[in-house]
Amino acid sequence: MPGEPADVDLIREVLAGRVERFEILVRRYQRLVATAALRMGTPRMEIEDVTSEVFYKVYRSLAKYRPEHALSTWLYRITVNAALDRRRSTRHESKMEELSPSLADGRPALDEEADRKQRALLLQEALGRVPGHYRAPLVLAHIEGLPLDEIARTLDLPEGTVKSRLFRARAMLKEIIRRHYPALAPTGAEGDAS
Amino acid sequence: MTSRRDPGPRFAEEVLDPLRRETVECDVAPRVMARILAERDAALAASAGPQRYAWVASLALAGASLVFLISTVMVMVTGGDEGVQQATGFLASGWQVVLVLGRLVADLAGRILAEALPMARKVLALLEVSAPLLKGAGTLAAAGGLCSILFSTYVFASARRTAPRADLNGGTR
Repeated sequence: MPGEPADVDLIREVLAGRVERFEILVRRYQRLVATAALRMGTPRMEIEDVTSEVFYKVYRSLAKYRPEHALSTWLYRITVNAALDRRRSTRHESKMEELSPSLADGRPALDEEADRKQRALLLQEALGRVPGHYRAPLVLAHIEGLPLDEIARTLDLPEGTVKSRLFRARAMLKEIIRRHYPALAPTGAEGDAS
Repeated sequence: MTSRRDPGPRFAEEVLDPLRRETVECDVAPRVMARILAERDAALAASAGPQRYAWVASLALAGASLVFLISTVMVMVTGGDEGVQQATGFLASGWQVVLVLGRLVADLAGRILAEALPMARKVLALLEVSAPLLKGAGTLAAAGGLCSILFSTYVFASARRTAPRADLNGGTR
């Protein structure tokens, strides 16, 4: 963005002692981090905790940042790890927000916006059933829209491993939806999903 | 969980679409910055305190040691201490030895110079006399070298002209 300091310059300034400049980075990326944490299955009430924890970790290890990769890649990596750690330690897997009975039953909701929100909540629950190391590439590829090489960098895995995990994660998701959340099955793919 | 075949990226894109459109708005900047600044202040206070005390303590210790040393020496000197007298005598003898050695070295250097200077003058005079001869010999040597290079070039060029050519199969033509 013209006029705004580049990430690398801000990082240099912070490392040189101008700590207050870190706030610009936080404001610039807090939405990305919070959204990624949510998509990784962090409950809404814990999003702020996870997000601030991620930025605190980023600040503590700022000297290790390598400018040849985008800052967002590094942030994704720390967010994914933080979200997975959080879930491992708190075991919140099934404590998602309450779902509307209409979707949980597979019946259509009346309000479209409410329907979309409920669908998203239900999806988060379904994603929560996918094991963390399969969920991470699935979220990064199909929700965050990252290319394969960037996912590999983010997760610190070879591209081949990411590919095979993606295949397996999609198969798992399909199976979870077929068994527990039939309302989420894509329209026109009933036969495929069953 | 049973293993199934991959339903493909399109399935995942379609199913996960509602999550893609969901974003989270939150402002954690004040919280993060408060934590970072509090930690920095604590770290500064923690590191500055002991450092300052260490400096003050070591300076005070150094000053006290110096005062103690000087006062001890003064008491020993004014009290006619035997150790001090011996040390003074030893230093005086040492100084005498250094002086004698210095004189000897200076004499030796003077003699060497006195012998070497006339010889150096003779060598210089000889060089001055033989300078034109040396210049001529140098010019002759350079001319000889040039001739040798020209001759070698000629020999090499004529050898290349008359040498048999090698073909690709390892034979000669």
